[in-house]
Amino acid sequence: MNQQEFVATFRNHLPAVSKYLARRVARADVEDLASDIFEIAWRKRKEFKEGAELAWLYRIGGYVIANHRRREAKRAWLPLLDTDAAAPSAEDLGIANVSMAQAWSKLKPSDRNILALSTFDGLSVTELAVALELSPNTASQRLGRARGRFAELLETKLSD
Amino acid sequence: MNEKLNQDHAVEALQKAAKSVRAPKLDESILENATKVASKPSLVERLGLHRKLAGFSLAGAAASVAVAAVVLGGVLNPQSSFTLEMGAPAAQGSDKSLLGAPADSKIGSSAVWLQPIQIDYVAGDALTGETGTGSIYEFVNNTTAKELSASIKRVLKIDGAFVTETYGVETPNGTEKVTYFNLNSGAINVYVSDTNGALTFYYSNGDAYITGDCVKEESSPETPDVSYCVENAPVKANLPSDNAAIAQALEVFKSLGFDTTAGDIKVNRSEDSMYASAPIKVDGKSTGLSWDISWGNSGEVSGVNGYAVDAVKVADVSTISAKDTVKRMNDYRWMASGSAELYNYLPSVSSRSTGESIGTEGKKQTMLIVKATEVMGIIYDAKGKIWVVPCFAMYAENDSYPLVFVSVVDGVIKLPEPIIWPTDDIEPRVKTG
Repeated sequence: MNQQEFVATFRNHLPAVSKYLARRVARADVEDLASDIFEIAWRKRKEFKEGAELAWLYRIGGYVIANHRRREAKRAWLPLLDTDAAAPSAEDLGIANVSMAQAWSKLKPSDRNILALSTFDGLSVTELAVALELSPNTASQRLGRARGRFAELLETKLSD
Repeated sequence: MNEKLNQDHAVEALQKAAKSVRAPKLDESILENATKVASKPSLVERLGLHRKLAGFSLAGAAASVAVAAVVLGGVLNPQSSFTLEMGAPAAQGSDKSLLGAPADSKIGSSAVWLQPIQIDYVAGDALTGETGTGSIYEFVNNTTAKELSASIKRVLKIDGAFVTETYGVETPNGTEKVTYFNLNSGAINVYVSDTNGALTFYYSNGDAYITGDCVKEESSPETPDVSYCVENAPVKANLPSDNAAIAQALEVFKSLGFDTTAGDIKVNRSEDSMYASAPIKVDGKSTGLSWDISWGNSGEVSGVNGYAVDAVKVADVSTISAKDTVKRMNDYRWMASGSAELYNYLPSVSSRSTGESIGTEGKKQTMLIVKATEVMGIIYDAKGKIWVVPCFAMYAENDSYPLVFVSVVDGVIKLPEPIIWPTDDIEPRVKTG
């Protein structure tokens, strides 16, 4: 893939990547992190799978955001490759409903991560598998469990 | 209502409860520029660099808000001559001291910054109008990157050699050369950089974490012959006691050039990891810089990071009152980074208060500041250099998350031009004229 092909392939995904980042980091950081994502995408363009461009970018984005957060929070003890740290918080998502925000915050990072990619970024199970480096089966099971846990937590919060 | 329906409703309600995202428009040049980066170090190697060079960081981060600043004259008792270059577009008025010329100051100007969520900060009765004095410190490297790299190798017993890598980073001041000293040896990664406003290092050891045996495997329909581990057996952590951790932290920190005390080291532990952190202090107060050490479930050290710097006093200055500092809270340029201990008791997922105070774009909110404590805060100048200045940590009503704002009197710190935050999805711009 040459430069022109790279730009042509990913041009249409710029708005989605911006939204993906804006849901997870401060707006002022979006452009910087988007640059990081595309720089990595360019370096690793040989690994790119046609038809799964956006999910592949989100996979890279998971690492970029996780490292960004690790840096921001000065939490050097966080495992370097824990992309679940990229999961958006209730504050990131601007969840205005208190019960909903509390239920979301109670979810495990891995559940928040997959549920956010599905619910807010609109990834299908196949795309989730690419983004999270899972088999489609596992992605499907994990998404189902995350949805179930969120519904349970929300029900608990609402009945408090 | 069956279980499936409940889940669907819950997720649907979640979608509705979340605010619509306001994402900036990304220019296609990002893609073109990405293809021009031929031999840039990996992201891990670049940790912690570019944001500081970029100049600004706004809300959201507990301990890394950057303020481009220029220190001018007008101090009470300068210890030495110090002048910093300004990275933002030229300010209005004189380049000389703004003391005695408050009309030139842009503090409190209504045109300063339009926040996505506008908040009107109000000083509570507990805040006083008492002014005071304080000192400004500059962080100065106390060794070289080469010597620090050698110390790290010796103290942490690492095999392998450091490799020097240099590349250019685009900043508001043009292309800046950045140099890293990297060492990768098995699961161990180290980088040392002296081009980050301060000489800093980061060490990580992936082998400090042990993964339990796989107890559950799954295959996908597409590749039935390949199985994936989806569940590992729990591993009993073998973490050091708090006292042992503090002793080891003291030893490692001291060997690498940072003198602290057991009393200043705070230990936090979870089920399978722990860390200890000690702030770099000036005037007996913690700054936003710290040294940290962590342990994995094996009990081995999993990470160490710190700053090889000394704080050098450059000026004594007058400070404004807590009440007057509240007036600066609508101007992000006065924000500073507080020390980590200010945020120790917050849930890890949250960097702001939760609940109905968020997600109300377009509405102006009032926030009562009920408590202000004197702290030392970190600011970055336009070149990314780190300074420590007197600040107040401001606590809003019903919120344990303080915002840290500079309390140095007008005229000592010259601010960059403000960024006007737009109300639609386009890039923010720097105010001119």
